[in-house]
Amino acid sequence: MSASNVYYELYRRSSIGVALIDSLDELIKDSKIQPQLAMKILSTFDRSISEALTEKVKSTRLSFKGHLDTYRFCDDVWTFIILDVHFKMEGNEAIVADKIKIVANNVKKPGEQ
Amino acid sequence: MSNNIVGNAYRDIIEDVINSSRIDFEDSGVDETTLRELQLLWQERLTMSGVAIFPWDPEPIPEPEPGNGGTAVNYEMSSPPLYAGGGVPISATPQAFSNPAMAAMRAAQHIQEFAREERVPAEIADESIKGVMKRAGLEDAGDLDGANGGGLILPGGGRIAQVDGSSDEPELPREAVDRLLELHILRQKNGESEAGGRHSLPSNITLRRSRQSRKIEFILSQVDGALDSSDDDDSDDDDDDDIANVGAGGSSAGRRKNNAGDDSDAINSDLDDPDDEINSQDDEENEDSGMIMLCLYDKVTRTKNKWKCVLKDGVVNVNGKDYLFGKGSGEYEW
Repeated sequence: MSASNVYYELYRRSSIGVALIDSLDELIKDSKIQPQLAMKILSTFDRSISEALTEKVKSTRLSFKGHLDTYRFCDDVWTFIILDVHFKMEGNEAIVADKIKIVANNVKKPGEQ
Repeated sequence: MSNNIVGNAYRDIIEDVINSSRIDFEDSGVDETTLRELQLLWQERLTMSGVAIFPWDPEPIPEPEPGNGGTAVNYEMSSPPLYAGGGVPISATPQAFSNPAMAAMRAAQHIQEFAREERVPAEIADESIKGVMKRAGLEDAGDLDGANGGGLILPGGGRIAQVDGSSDEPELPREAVDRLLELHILRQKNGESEAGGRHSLPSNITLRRSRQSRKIEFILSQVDGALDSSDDDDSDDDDDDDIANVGAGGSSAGRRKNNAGDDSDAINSDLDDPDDEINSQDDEENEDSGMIMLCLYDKVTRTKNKWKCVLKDGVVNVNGKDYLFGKGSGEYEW
């Protein structure tokens, strides 16, 4: 299995992922890099953010409660839309939001035991 | 607070990606300055998003000052006009780009010139300008001439002096002008996708996107169509056949006959372009779910209407801020 396939592309939708994609887009449109190079960088990003989350924020906890509006389980991906969400962050910081969408991939990647 | 760790975590990710990509850049024969530029673009976009406070945040303020070290200068040299604004704060640039007021100013100016050329009564032209301005939420139509200085302000910040508003004696070969305009349209298109599709195109250009192929066709109609005499238009159609698409002749002929009032509608119709709406809907969907949590699930269980989930390795965007978590748990009822 090639290394680039091991990591989820899920986090490309995060702020940092979108910022990277937009920056790469700009460089491609200015003909400064080729799209193939951009794809490689995105794969690197997939690995980097997955590792960073696993290793560096390991101990950071978050819990939330809310009202489940929509749920979906498709292709091993859970999607929830939760309304009136109350988050409790590390250090008892509380945040309330009207709505949040959760997209969650399986911890066990395909092929893993 | 898990927002505090975001800045450093993102910095580590960026540095890791940049350092790991160096070899890919070398393999592709791309210069190291481009890699550095990517890093700066990436960081600036994150700063603009305001999802957290970043370690590099204090940097962008002194950066525009000239002679601020080699990398900064290099970057400014190679950067697109988006950042060429010198002391303009970066957060302000996208607004400047997507500013409907700018579009309205251009539009109004063209209406004025058109009115002058075609002897349209000044009141009608003024009325049209007011309409354009109103749409852009711009009330002060008075300093139009002062603001534009009689030139065509291009979206990239460039400017083409339009001395007499007619192209009887073009200073550039037509093809060169066409290419220049095309370039700016493309540039603006780039800006448009970044800024969420709020742009309007310059008034003299009609951009059509065929939905099936999503191929972009450019029809350059106004430069000669609206301002020139008809015989020149005919030759114009012939000249431009290789650039303008089939059917452009008919379309520009139609546009030529528009009066100033219709022209303003045509200009603003770019804002209402159905394709743009589709784009902005997509954006809205993304923005809407900008409140998003991306994570891995360990366990999702349900008992009657009570759900519980055990999550890992999450990135959450709530109320405009990012949070990270290693372990998460949620309880909610359906």
